[in-house]
Amino acid sequence: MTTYKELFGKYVQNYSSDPTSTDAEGQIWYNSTSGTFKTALGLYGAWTSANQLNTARGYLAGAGTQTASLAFGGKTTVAVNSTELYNGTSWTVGGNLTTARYGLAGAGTQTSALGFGGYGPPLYNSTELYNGTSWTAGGNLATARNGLGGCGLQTAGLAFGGNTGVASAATEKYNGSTWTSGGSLNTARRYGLAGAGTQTSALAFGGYVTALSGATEKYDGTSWTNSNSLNTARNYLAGCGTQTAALAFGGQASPGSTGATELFNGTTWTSNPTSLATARVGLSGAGVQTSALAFGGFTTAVVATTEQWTQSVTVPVAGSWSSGGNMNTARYSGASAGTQTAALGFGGYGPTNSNKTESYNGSAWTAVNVMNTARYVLGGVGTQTAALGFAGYNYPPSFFNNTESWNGTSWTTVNTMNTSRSGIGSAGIQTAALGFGGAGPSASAATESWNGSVWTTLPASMNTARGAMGSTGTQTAALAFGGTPYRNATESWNGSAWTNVNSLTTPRQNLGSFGTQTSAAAFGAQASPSGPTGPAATELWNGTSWTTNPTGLTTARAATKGAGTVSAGLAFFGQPASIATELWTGPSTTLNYKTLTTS
Amino acid sequence: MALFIYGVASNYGKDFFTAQDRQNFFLRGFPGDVWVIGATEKGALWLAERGVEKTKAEAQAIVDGEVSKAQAAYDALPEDQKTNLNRQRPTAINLP
Repeated sequence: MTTYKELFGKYVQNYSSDPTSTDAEGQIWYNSTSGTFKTALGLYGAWTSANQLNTARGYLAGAGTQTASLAFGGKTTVAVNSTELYNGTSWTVGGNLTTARYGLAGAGTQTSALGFGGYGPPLYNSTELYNGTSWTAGGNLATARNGLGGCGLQTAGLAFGGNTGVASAATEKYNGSTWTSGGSLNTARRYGLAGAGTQTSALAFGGYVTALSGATEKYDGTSWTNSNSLNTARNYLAGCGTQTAALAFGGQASPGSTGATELFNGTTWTSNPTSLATARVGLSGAGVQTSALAFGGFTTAVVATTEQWTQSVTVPVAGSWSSGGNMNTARYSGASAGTQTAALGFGGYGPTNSNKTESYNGSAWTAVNVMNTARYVLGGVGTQTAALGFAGYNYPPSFFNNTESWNGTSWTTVNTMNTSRSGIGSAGIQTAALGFGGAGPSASAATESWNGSVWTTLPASMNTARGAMGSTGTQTAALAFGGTPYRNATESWNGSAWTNVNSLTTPRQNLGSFGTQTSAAAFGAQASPSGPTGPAATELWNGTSWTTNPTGLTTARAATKGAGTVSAGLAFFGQPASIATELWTGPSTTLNYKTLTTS
Repeated sequence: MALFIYGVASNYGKDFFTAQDRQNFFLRGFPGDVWVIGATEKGALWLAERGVEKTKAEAQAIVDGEVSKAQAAYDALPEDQKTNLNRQRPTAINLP
């Protein structure tokens, strides 16, 4: 048996874990931990809009690549002969087909293309050859048909299947001047099957037998072999690529047009997470699996829509929450400081006004020395070993301006704020903090700055007075969002003034938060007066706008707090009084790994 | 909260929607230049910059009108064209 070393002159690399660099795309390695051979594929793709055809039409043919495509023939309300060339940016008109027709097939490149078969009426067997400028006649197919599949080159083309009045299995091979018989598909089909590959290594997929078909067959230059079917059976779809790396998109499925996109790896089809933006039937395509073009088609009328397919080696991974252990004392509306692996939680309510302080090491909470003044809805900033707690509320009604400083071991009472309030927003560190908003009992917009020893009321107030908001950042670069009563307003602080910026998607109060002014997370909260536990939805701020993460907190809760960053955060406290802690892992990308089958 | 917002926007080609847009929010086009967009801030901004928001009922009415026109066009097709494309009579499209 020939070894890999003998074939390629080198051994397969041995890794204990999969490589994470994008350089791994297309490489093969042995994962000694899982005991498997693996590779990384660029399998995630998306369709984006591109400039449209000059002539909207369906049931047209295509050839070429994503940046040098050819569209020809098709149907508006009648068969057309127009040809268009795409240069990666826009379509320009080329020389017309001699015979107007639709449901024809295409092969080749933009400057050396082949068009064959189709319907005018009547059914055509004629072939035309394009040289980048004009079409000339070639040899005729033995079998006139439309809705056939095609692939290959102008001098080595392949035609298969189609409608002759009945479903055809006939395969014909073109050598640049003459078509010769090339065997039969295992499944005769018509009404628009698609093709990919070359004359000696082709792929046929989709079409219509007695119903929509997903049947896929491989051709070796002589005969067809059945392979695994498309996930979505369909006809008048488009396809491109090679026998071992093909792309299928669009077509007529049940009950109507589809935009579904599937990728073939030589063995099986995988559905891409996103589809064509415009589902359609009778479109055409060009290119390869990693870089394709879809154009034309029919929705309820013919369209000129063009979409461009691009694959990435990496797959986006949404942020996620996981369990992170329990606090010792269940409570809500406490304050927080620190990071995901070194956090501090202090104050709160549950079962009464609390002065308790707990320290988190990334997996477990430990009770440490208590605050001097029990309270909740207080502000907190700093780190696990250098924190500041300020303002807050106690029941029976009492609003605080008390400030305490934590040195990693104990709390020391320091100078008070100028305005007593609860639900205050907070940013900064122990020696340079910012307190803003809150209620005492009326909603406040006041902003105070802490220099490590005293609080100073700043002339600039928030644009919207509110309490129980989310807040992140530093003394000179802070962010405030949400808050009472059920707001989504977001404001950004530059050290001297607050500016309104884009709002949260979900209005809420008593939410949790962590991060910075330009990269923040909002989670949990009350979204309406109807109950204490509002949405678990997590929203992420990128410095400009908020995006909702696909998944939220495992345990929906209000009056929660957070620590850390958008990459690695922590959520704890919650109402009803909660001990649950959740760990946040921020959005990322990963390579699309595949385990290779060995025998 | 509604999952989608609805609008009418004319696809002007390149950059009408980008790969980033496709990752940021749900987007699907329907007849009559109707678009269904995921109800996110980015989705709403995309529509605001490109078209006009409609209620679901308004958007559905536009699509229904296009389907009706397509059905009439289909009914007027010569029988051979229906046969050669295996075209089914257009059916109602229900917006998500």
